[in-house]
Amino acid sequence: MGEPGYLEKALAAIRTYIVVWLIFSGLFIVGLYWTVSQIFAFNPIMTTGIVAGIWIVIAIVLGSLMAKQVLLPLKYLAQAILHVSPTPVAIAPPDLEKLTLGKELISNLVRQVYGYAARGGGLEQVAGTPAGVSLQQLPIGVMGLDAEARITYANPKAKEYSHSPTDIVGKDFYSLFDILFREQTLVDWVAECETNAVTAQKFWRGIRMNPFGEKTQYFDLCARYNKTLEKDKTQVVITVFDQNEVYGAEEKGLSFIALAVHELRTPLTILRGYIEVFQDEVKEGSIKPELAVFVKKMQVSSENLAAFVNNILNVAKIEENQLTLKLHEENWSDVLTKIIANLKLRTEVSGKKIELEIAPGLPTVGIDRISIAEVITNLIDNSIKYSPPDKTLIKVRTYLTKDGFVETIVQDFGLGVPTQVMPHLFEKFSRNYRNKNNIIGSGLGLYLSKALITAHSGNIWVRSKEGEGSEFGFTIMPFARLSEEEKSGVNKEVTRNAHGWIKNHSLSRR
Amino acid sequence: MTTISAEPIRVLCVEDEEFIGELYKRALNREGYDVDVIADGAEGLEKAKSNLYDIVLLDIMIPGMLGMDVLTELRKVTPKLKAKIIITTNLEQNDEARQAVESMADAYIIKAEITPRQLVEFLNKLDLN
Repeated sequence: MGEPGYLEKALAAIRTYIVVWLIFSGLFIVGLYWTVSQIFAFNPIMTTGIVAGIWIVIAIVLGSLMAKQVLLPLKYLAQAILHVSPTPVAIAPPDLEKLTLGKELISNLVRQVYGYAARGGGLEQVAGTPAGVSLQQLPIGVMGLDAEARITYANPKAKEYSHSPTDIVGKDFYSLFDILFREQTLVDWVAECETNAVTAQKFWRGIRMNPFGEKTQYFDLCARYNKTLEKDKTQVVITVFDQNEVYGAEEKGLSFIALAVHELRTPLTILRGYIEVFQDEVKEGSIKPELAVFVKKMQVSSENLAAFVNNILNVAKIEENQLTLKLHEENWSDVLTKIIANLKLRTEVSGKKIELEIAPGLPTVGIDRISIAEVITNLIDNSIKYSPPDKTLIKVRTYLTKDGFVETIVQDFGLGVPTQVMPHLFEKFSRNYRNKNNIIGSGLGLYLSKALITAHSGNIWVRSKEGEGSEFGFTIMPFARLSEEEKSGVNKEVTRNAHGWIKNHSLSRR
Repeated sequence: MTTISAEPIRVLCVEDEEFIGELYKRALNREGYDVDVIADGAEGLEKAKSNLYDIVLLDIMIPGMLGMDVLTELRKVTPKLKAKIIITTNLEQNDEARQAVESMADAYIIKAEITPRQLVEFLNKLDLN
C-alpha cells in the first residue's frame, strides 16, 4: 500500500474539495434567492420555487462533472490493472498527469500494480539458487535478454547452441544467433510488447538458427516478455527446444535433389545438342521445311525442361538457405533487352508477341543477372501459359517509380487470376486449381521469383482481373542506393542469400 | 577466332559421355577446331601434360581420375601449361567447392545450360595468347 502520507493527503484533498463545493453551493443558493427576489418582486414561496428549480438544473450538471472528477482516480487504477492483465486487452496505460485528486496516491498504487505484474529482473540473479542449479542442467536452452537485447543470463545448453568460444553473457543476442522465422520475427514481437504490453508470451514452432560459421539448426522458441524499466535487468526470457532431428531431416532433401538434377541434366544436354544438329540440317536444307517448326518446338521444350530443372534445384536451395546471389552494377536497359531477346523463340513458337517499353535515363541497378533473367522468364512463361490463342500480346515495360525504384511490369491480356487463388499466388505449389483449360505447370515459378526479388531488396506484386488479364510487377534497387544501404562502397559486389524465410534483422525489413 | 594462325586450334575434350563428346567434337570440327575426345581421366591427364593443346575441356565427373584431381596434378606438374582449362559439369556444387575448382581453371561451364554451338561461340571468344 502507498505511504500513509499519501492516503492522508488524498483524504485532505477530497475533504477540501467537498467542503469548498458545499460552501459555494450554499452561498450560491442564498445569493440566487436574494437576486431573484430583488429583480422579480415575487412572494417568498414563488421565489423559493424558482430558485429551487434553477438549483436542481445546476445541481444535475455540476453533479455529473464532479462525479467524473471523483471517480477519476479509481478509473485510472482500474485502467492500470486491466493494462497489465495477461490476456491482451486493447487499453492504453493511464495518463496520470490528468489527475488532480489524489495524484500521488494513485500514481503510487499504479506503480505497485505494474511492479507486481512485471516482476522482471530475476533471471540474472538465479545462479547459485536451487532454481539456478536446475536451469544449469536443463537440456533446454534458457537465456535472458535485457531491453537492449544483451544477454543477461545463459545456461550451458544455450551457450552450446551459440557455438561461441567465449562467454556469451553481456553480448548482443542477435549478433550471436542469426535467426530466421516463418512469421513474425522476435525483434518485431518484442517491439510490439514494448508499446502494447507489460507481460506477454509467444511460441514459435520451427525456427532456424544459423550460429555464424556453423550449420543451420532447427528449434522451437518460446519467449516471455516482462516489462522492466530498469537497465540491465532481464526483460525477455527465451527458451529454445532442440528440434534438429525433427526439422533437420528435411536437409537431406537437398542432396537427393542435387543428385536427381545431375542425372536429369545429362540426357538434357544430349537432347539439346542433337536438336541443334537438326537445326543446322534445317538451315542447310536437308530436312523438309515443314519440319522446321517441329524442330523449333523441340528446342523450346528442351529449354523449358532445362529451366524447370534449374527451378527445382533453386527452390531446394532456397529451402536450405543455400542460394547465394551476387549483386553487381548493371545497365538495366541492356540486360532487359537481352533477356527479352532470348525469350523471342519461346514466345514466337507459342504464337505470342512481346512489346517492350523502356523509359529513358534509367539509373544502373544492383542485380544478379541470372536470377533476374529467371524471374522475367517465369513471368513471361506465365503470361504465355495463361493467354488463350486469340490473345497474342504481352507487354513489358520498365520505368523509375517516384520512390526511386526501378519497376518492371509484365502484362498479359489472358485469363487472369481467380480471386480465391490471389492470396496464395506466391506460395509453393499454389497451383492446385484446375481451370477449364487444364494448364500444366509446377507451381514453383512465382515462389522462386518472390524469393529472388526479395533477396534483391525488391517487391513483387500482382494486379489481375479474371477474364481480362494480369499485371505482374517487381521492383529492383538502383545500384547507388543499394551500395549506400549495404555500405559496400568500394567493393562493387553485394552478396545476398535467397530463401523463403524472414530474417530476424532490421536490414531485411524494406 | 581470335588467333590468326595457319594451324587449327587443338582441343582436348575429357568427357566420358559418348554422345556429349560426339556433339562437341562435331560442332568444334565444323568451326575448324581439331578435337581429341578422351573418356578416361588418367589418360586425359597424360595427353594434357604433353602441352600440345590450346584448350582443355575437362569434365569433373569422369572415371579413372576425378576431374578435380586431373586439374590439381596438371597445375602441379605442368605449371607453364599453355592450354586454357575449361571445367565442364552437370553437377551442382556448393559455392565453396565451385570456387575451389574455378580458382584453378580458366572457366566453369554447366553443360546442360549451353548447346554445342554456344560452347563454340564461347571458345571463339577466348584469348589463347
